[in-house]
Amino acid sequence: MGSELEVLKKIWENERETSVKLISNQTGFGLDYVRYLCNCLIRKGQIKPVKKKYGWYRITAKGEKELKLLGIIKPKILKEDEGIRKVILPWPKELLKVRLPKGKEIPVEEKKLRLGKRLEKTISFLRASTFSTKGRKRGKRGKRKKYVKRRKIKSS
Amino acid sequence: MSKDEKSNPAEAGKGLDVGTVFVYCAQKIGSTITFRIQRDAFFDIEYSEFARSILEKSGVKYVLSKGKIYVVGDDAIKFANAFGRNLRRPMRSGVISPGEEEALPILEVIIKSVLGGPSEKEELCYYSVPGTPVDADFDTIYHQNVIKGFLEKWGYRPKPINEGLAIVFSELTEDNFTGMGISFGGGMTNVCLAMMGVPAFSFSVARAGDWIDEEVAKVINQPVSKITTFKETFFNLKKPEGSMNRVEQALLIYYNYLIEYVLEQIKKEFEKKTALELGEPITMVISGGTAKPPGFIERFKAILGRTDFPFKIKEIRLAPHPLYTVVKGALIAAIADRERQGS
Repeated sequence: MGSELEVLKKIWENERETSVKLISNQTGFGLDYVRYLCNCLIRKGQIKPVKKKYGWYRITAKGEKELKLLGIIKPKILKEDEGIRKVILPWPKELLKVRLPKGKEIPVEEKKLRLGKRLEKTISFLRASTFSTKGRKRGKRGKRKKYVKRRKIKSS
Repeated sequence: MSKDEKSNPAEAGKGLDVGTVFVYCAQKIGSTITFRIQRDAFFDIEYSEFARSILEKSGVKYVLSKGKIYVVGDDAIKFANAFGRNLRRPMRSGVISPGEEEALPILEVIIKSVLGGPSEKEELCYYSVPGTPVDADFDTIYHQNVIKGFLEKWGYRPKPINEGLAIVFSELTEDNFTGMGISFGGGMTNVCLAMMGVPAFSFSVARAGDWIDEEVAKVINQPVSKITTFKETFFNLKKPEGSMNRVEQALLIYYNYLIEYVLEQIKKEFEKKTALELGEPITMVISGGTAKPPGFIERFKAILGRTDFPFKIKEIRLAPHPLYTVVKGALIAAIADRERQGS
């Protein structure tokens, strides 16, 4: 990890704002060197000096984003749904940007097959076996009795 | 727009198959399933207004970037052949190509072109992912999460589905979703054994159509793209071996080897699962572009007949639409899952 990044991380760790002295103690860097690194970070817009507190610095949103991009801060977990952790990973900055020509869409090949009826049958089977978590619904008791009676008559 | 499409709006829930060679999307509209297809390939040329206007007039599919024009889809093959350079592919061996810097944005454009926008808020979209490869040193976690990221960005609710399991969902209804699905794709061969729709084991091997093309190109000393075109257009495994030319003979040798290799891997994986007991003989369904040449299924059966296999097979069949089987399975899973959540 670079020295600038180490300073940035220390500021974030100390509840997002801290003094040059504390950073110096925690990192082992000299006071002047820490001041110099802080100036570099200010120029990059990653930290800001705290008003009315000389030698204190606060991390900015840009600074936090940088730490997230480098994986130093763990990505934010939005919600825990059915045991699946939804994690939003930040995208790398240097990714190539492509754009479509104005008012155009990329045409695609299309094929239509009359498989809808078959598909519906498969879906109903699949719902009954794989995706079903609840027990099957039964009709009213009366109906069930009737069915049993009819079967008895048939067998006799 | 057909009458059916006019009277029946598109049903919510989509299937997406992000393959090494093609990207497919499936959607149900009334009694029709619409498949949208885009070749997973691109080719870059230096930007100039002149080049751009020519592409525009010729109706070539392209996207623009800083100083470059990227021709995407089928047109990229034509350009690669014309310029005598290799076609660029955003995917390799079933996952995002680590060697292609532009892979991510190009793949994003290609997927977006077939998928379009969601028809409802957080529309469910099942997308295919390969199984963990047993013979290669990489995993599918990065690939799976990148595709998930794209879909979330466009407003979908993405859910992954194993390629082999998608085949089971698509073709094994009569067998109560019990059996084996094998997809001989471009970059990978995926296998899944499922019992009543639940995967007992699934894996992939990093050898499939691309591997055949590359090996044949090496031994014949011809460009890979030429071998690919020949294989996709003319190759017939039913042709008597005596009348085959040099390329056909080489293709046949590697096809045989691939089938033997996949069957060997299935055997190994099955034997690892000592607790697995199959009561009755099972059905095997084969799909994928590599299984398309006439005579593939007969050759597969012949090689399987010679192999000492650990379980009994009831039937081996080729899926009726081998290219669309995986995406159809993903669509089935999406609609079934959506209906279950709705009920």
